[in-house]
Amino acid sequence: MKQEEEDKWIKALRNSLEDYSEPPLAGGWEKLQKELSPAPVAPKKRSYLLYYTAAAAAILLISISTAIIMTLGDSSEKFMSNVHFPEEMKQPNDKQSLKDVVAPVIKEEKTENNLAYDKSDQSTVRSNKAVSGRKSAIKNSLYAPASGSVSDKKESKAENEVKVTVTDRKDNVQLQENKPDTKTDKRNEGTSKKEPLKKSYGSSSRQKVQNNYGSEDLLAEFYEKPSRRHKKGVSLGFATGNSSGIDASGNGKDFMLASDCLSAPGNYMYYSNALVNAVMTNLNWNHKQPVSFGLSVRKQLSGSFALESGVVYTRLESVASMEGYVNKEQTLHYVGIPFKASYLFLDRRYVTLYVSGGGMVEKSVSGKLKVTDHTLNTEKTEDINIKPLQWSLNGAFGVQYNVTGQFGIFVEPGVVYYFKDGSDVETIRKKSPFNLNLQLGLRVSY
Amino acid sequence: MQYFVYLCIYKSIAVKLMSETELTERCLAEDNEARKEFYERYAGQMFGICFRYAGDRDTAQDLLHDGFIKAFSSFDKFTYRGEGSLRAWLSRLMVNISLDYIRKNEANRQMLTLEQIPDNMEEPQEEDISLIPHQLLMRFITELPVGYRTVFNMSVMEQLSHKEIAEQLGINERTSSSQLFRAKKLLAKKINDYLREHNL
Repeated sequence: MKQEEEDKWIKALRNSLEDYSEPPLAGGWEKLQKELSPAPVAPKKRSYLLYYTAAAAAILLISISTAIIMTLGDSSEKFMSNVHFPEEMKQPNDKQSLKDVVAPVIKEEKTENNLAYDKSDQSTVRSNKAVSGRKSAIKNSLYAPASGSVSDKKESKAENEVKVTVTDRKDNVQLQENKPDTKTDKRNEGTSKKEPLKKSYGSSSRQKVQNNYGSEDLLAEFYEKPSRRHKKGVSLGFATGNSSGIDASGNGKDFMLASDCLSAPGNYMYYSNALVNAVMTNLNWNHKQPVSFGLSVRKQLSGSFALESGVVYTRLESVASMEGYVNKEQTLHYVGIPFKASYLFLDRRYVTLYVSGGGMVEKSVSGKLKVTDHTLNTEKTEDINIKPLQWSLNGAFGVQYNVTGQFGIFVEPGVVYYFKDGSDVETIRKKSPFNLNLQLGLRVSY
Repeated sequence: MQYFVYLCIYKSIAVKLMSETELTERCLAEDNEARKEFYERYAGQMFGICFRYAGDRDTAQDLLHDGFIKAFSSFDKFTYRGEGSLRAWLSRLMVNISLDYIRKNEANRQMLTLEQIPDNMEEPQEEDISLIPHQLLMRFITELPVGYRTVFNMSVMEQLSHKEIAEQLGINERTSSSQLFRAKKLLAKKINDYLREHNL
């Protein structure tokens, strides 16, 4: 009975029968398939709950994503509405002298003599650059020497100290001060009243300006009148569509010097341009929320992990505009290849939920900058060429609707961090490198 | 038209050539085509297993069906470990399904049958076994009383130890080994009778 060794015949019997096979009944697969198509039988009750959870999560995701896109995409209107000029100021016409434009506002004329100031001290040049607001623009127009323009980012950065630009979305800058007997301090006070986030208001820089030009009286008078008349003065508000706020120092590219336009003091000929230019210098880009569309290929590894790659197209659109004066529109098209790893924590017949993380390398394939100058009535379109590659890292939560076992449509809201691409072009990626993004697409899984 | 035919042939061949790993992955992904291929590839042999345990074809068909349903829903629990591991996993699954059925079915609980054990100690020769058609051998096994048959299947075909069999069936080891002994005796008789009848 106790058999240490197996009987040989038993062994032979096993060998004979272990591959025994009878053809399956006809219709066996069909019967099986019918039962397989809906959710698996065993965890039926549980799967309902999962489906509801999945559906709720998907709806929530989509609504959040839509809300994000809507709020960020609409901010261009907010931007526009914040910009206004005092009613007395007419829209400057082409070549109209600033005097004509400004005179009604100021009311009192000053003799040209007073305008002749020592411009030899070139340190004042710097103050010409980072100017904002009409007040400073006018001032610089009057006194601007013939020094060359500097569009160097570095210098303009330094001059941000003098800038009055609001760096906080809601604040409006009061450019005029109420007290007529304006002295240095007052002006300083006035301008530095609304401390921007940067806190780099250098009263020191201002001091330079004052000291070098000497005649504060003129300045005082120049500004007095307006200040008497317009207690509020000019309000310039800046808003961008970006959740992370404005980075004032990023405006280097937009800086143009008012001083470009002038030759001799008292020359009002080009002041309108100067004004416009000065106005343009303060334009902040309003970047719209980018949306990406991708075709993705995903390879499923064992378990719930998968790797994927593909092709992603992204469109970046930005607008910088001052109503009635100038309008800039920038559109960039990027094509990129992502590399991601995903963890599928819910994978059913129709719905897959997952989280993924990875990186992407993109190249700008085309770009256009359209500048519409309302004062000169010109429209100019130029091509933007960004040579360097754009690298980024991202993480996302994804919902995928599985049309078939291999093919699906997905929505992936997530966060992304963009590395500096070394170019000068201002985009939402430069302004706010860490941001939300939304990707839609088609996916093939295998 | 020709191309269409070639395409169909190619497609069917290509599908047949799906490797075990690919089959696994795609079944895991609930790919219908892969599932069909999986079923068609293994249904025949799995039926054999179920039939061995069930004893009749109808029950075997039901067990086969249930087994595949369970297999498709638990692909995530399977890890591919080399050639043959997929079949081994599926076989184990089918055996478990069959044993569940046997355990639950009260009529099958007659482990201790009073079937007469032949006195004949004569054992068949190894080479004689190959003379007997497979279907017949299978029939001999399915004709065994359920208790003997189950233990025989588990010990000889699945090569489980008596300890494991005892655990699975809720009997003790001694019972298991005596059941096996009796099963072998019965089978030996049937085989020898057949060989004698056919002058082999």
